[in-house]
Amino acid sequence: MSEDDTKNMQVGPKDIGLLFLANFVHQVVNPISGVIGTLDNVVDGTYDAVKAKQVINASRAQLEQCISLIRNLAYLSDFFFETSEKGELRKAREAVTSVLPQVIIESIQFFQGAGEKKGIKLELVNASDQYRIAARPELLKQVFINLFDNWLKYGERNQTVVILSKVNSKKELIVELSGKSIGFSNSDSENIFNMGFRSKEAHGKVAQGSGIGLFICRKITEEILEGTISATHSPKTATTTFRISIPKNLWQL
Amino acid sequence: MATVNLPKTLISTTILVVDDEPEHIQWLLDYVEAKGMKTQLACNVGEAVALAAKNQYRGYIIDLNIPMGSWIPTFKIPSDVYEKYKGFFVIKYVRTQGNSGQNVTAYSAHYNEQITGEAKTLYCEYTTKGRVKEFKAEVDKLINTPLAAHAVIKSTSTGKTK
Repeated sequence: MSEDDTKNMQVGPKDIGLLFLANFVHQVVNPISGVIGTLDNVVDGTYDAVKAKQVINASRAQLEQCISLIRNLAYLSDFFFETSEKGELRKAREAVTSVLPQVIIESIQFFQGAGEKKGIKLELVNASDQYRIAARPELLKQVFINLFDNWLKYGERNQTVVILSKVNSKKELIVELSGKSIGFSNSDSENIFNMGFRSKEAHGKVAQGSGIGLFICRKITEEILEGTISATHSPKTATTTFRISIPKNLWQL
Repeated sequence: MATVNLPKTLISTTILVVDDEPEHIQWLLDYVEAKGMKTQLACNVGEAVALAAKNQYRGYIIDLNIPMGSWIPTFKIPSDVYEKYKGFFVIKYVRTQGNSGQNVTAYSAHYNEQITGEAKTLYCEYTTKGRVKEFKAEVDKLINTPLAAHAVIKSTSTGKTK
């Protein structure tokens, strides 16, 4: 078995804790260290007042990235490994609806600053279609945040990522996100949603990642939205497409 | 036996910074530049080695957790620590070229004996990401210590100094 095969293997449940520990440390320490360094530069006068204001804003984005990761872990804990007592409250918690364009726009806003730095624009095509989905907005938002986060890490610079929602012949609500990225082998198109999995291409771009983001996307899509999520990549056009399908009983217009 | 390319040009005003997540080290780039140095960024081993093969830099600040990129090691991997912390490939490369250990600083989010042991073996400086004061002290030392005559790689003497 090659080194890459070993890296790309799906980890077993026993390994998950260790994997989390190692990756979690790296994923959280890096942005926080960045913020500490930035604040130290402000304090020691490396930055003038104008620059200081700019970098403090950037630091806020770095801290938000940490929070996003921590929230992912919290969702795991809260929804997928929850105790029976919490389970009794689950039904009441989920008796709310999300307005799809609002959730997507809020998720886009979360990444606006970081996206601008890389020349990546996130564009919702049909923002006026007010699809309402029977799911908590913060859960739905987490799906889009994780997908956009991936695009910022692995997407090509200077591009527009398009988000399009439509209804298919089965009356399923389809949300498609398409844009240019480093991609992945289509034989990995299922694996990328597995806990702890990182593709060979992802390893080549960024040394460490949590391998948790897309796993959360799939969990929320399947268990909360009762739908499916899939991904494809065209090497010819370097275009990656994520497709979320939500059954007709879970949404209305 | 190690195979490295020797640099032709000495860039005495630039520090080569190697990190795959530059958005988290903007403060470091700003700090170095505020001290009067320029920075050149590489995001993986391949990019760093390609730059080091052409130029000798005033100093090297290298994250240990970086991807390989397209580079294939031209020397035997001394230990599995290189597999875990691929930045050591860059350090070994630039040290083998003849760069002084004083001019090479490694850093990482993790801190363990494996890392400090290999850093000692390569006679390079080491610091952790979270300890910014210590990190800055290392950077200050690197910038404030003039490049000794014997630390200039001979292959650059026929080349251009920038």
